[in-house]
Amino acid sequence: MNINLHQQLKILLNSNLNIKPVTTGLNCAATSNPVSYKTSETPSAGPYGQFGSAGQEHQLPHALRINAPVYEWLNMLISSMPQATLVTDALRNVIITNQQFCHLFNLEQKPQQLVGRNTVELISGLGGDMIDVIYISERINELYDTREPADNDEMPLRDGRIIVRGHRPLYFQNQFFGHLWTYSDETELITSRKRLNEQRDFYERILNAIPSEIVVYSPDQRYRYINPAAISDAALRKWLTDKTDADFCVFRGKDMSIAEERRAAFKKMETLQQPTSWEEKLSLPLQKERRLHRTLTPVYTPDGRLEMAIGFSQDITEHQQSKEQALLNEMKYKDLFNYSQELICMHDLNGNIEKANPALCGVMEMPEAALVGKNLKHFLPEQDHHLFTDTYLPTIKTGNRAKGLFRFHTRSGKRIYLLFQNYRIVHPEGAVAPYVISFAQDVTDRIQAERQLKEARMQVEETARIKEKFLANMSHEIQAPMNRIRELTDQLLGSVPSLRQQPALDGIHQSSRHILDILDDILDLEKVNTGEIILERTTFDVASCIRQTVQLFKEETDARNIRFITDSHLPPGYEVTGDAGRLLQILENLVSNAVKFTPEGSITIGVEKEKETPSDITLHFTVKDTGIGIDEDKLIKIFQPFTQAHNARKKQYAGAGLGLALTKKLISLQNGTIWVESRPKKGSTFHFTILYYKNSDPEYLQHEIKTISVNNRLGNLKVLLAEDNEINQLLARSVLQYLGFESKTAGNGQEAIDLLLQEDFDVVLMDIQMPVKGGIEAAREIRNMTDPKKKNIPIIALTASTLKGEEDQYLAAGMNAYIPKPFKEMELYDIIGKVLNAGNSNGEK
Amino acid sequence: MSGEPLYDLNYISQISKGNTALIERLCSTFITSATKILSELKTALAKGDLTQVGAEAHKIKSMIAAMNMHRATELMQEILESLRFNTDVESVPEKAEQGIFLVEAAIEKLKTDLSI
Repeated sequence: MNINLHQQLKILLNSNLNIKPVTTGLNCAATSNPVSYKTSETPSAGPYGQFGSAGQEHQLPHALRINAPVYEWLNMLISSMPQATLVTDALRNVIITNQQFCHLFNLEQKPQQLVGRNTVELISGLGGDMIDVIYISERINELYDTREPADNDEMPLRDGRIIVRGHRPLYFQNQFFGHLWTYSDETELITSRKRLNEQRDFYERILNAIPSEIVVYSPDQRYRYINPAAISDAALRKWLTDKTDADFCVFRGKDMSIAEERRAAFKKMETLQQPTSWEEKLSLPLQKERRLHRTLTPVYTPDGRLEMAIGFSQDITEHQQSKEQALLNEMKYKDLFNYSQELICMHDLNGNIEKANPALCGVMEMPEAALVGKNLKHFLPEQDHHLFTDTYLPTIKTGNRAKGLFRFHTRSGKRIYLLFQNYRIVHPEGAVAPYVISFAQDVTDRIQAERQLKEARMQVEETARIKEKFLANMSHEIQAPMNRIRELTDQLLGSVPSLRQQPALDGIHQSSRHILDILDDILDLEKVNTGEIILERTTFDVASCIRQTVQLFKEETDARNIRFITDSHLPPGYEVTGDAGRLLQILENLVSNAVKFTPEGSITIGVEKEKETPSDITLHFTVKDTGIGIDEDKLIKIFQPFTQAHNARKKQYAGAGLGLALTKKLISLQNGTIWVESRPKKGSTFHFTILYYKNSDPEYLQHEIKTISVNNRLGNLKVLLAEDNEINQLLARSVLQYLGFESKTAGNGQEAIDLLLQEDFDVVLMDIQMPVKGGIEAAREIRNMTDPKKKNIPIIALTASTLKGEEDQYLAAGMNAYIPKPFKEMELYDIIGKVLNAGNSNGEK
Repeated sequence: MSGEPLYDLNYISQISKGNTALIERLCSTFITSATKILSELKTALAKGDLTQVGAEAHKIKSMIAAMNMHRATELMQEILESLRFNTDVESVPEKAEQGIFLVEAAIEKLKTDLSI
């Protein structure tokens, strides 16, 4: 601590010289109202003789005289001063100085040698050592002129030292005596202070730049420091220093509860000796309420006393709003999850359940805790585990999405079906491990309904098949006697019956013909269903077919005054290759219906090209009538078997309801389609298309020649097919039909033997593994038959096995050849040709 | 799993000459028959009755071949060879399981495709 000259003089005079105020007449003015001091006794003579001896008055340069003892006393005082000291008169001559002064300024002279020298001269000598000599000189002049006391005038020297100068005017007996100058080397102190100030400025700049509010409180909770973030107004910041929060609230008109809350927080911090935080709500005019998170941190001195408290505040308004919004959103998502009727769960990439919503828990009949942590596989039937492991997990891992159906077991053991659509969720930052979110629907009821429906449909289809089969069998059985009835009726009619008998015989004849037509339809329908219909391929004139059809009904339509119109857009004599007989059958069916349901008006048969390629042509036929039409609700059913659009009980509309069903199937066989347009009381138009080959096409001709040559070479063979498997039966019959062969089917070896005994066949196709009697056993029995023709019939083994060595067994059993299933037409054709040729060769031999 | 389709109808379409009624009937019959054979195959597997496994494999082989189920057909052929020549018999159950899985998957797909 730098004690100023005024204080030093006061101490020194009081302690050593017993100075009493206003007794010596020497005044040392620290202010403009100087205090005077007087010595109680007369001091001894000083070392400076030129000022006179003891008891004498010293002759001072500016004519003020002091006696020798006072001078001595003053000289002693100055000499003993720890600081460099100089006393000059008003004319700037040195009166007294000390050794410290000489040392400080590196003067070679002794203090006594400087007495009487003018300081202007002295400064001139020292000027080279001073950095700003002009300023220093001006300041000295100012002090000489004003005689104002001064402290802490800094004089930087070139050698790096900073000399601090003090100045006091001296009065003796109320008269100006001279100037007292003190000098001290304060380099270290000033540098340290400067460094401290720089540091303080540095930290203050940081604190001022921080956007968060920072304040420092004194232990009595007064503001020591406030940064601009806390209070932007610099004047208010300054005013608030040393004030309390209560002062602030009063000054700014704020609610005093803020100050009370802060006071309570401060107390809490003091009590707990720990940082204390609280949230403060600030209402500002015309602004939204702000929310601040404030923290008070105590700072203690080394001896444990509270030195200050640092207050730190953060505006958490937005953060808090975001947090509240996030909480709200989370709540909504939770609600969505909890109240969704969709079954939702989350699982990791291995199927371990992480979360399940109440809907899923409800369906599974177990709480979430019973599901979470378990693997989904755990709830699947064991036979479905491989689907989960081998299909579902790899799909979801690689494809990001998987959908499908799983069966689950509920807690009570009930089996449910969940239709799921699952997504793999991968967060880009990887903060959360990838997981799967699963959305599912319980489709158990739907599946069961579908299953029941399917079973019912299968049952209906099976029943229908049985019915059709029965009908076909019955028709087949009835066909022969009915033909016989018709033949006998024809004979009776030919033998000139009596007039009474003639109408009855006509009736029998017509009825038997009608029954035979129905039987033909039933048998045709069955043949289509079983793939037994053989389509012919001959070249024919389309217009001729239409003419033939018209001719069939001409008599009847003429009688009823119904006009026939032919609307052909084909060139005259246009020929195609296909089954002319089936076209006639189709046209006959449709025209027959038109005639039946048209009381008056006309029937138009039209044909045009619809699509043509180099090898084939699609023809579009129409049969249009002006009849009674068909109700819309009946339209979709009319192509079903045994269905009629009109009341069959009315005699004129009677029929079996098979015509359109058969027509549709015949058209389908020829790669065509049929549809109808109709309006009640306006009439109906039946459209159908058929794909025909163009006989001009060379490829076709080649194919046709080949087909014909096949037929020519092998003829119309009759094949016995022994096969228990229904699919293989259907496929084989289809192939045989394509090749133009007639076939009969046996379901096992025994049936094949029975059929062969009843009828003649050209070749046997024998499956190996069949119930009741296998193919090998049956072949052996055939080879043991007595009838040479049957005994030597060629037998071809149909085998599913392609194992080496097995063919030897078939040949050893007497079979002629074998063909692995499934086979193609030409493969079968070739092998049949081979065995037949071999047989013929053997016969010739 | 390879990209090979579970089944294709090329063969039966070609044999049926586009007769859609026949194709539908073939598919429907395949589903009924194959399901029955698979059930018997599973029972035989569960009993460890390899002779019966071979018989069922033989029954289903030509049917699945007609549906162009190549891998399943190969598996059935391998089963038949193993049992016939008494080699690698221990692999038969696994191959049968794989075959069942493939045929069942094909049946399911066929049902979906045909809206059965």
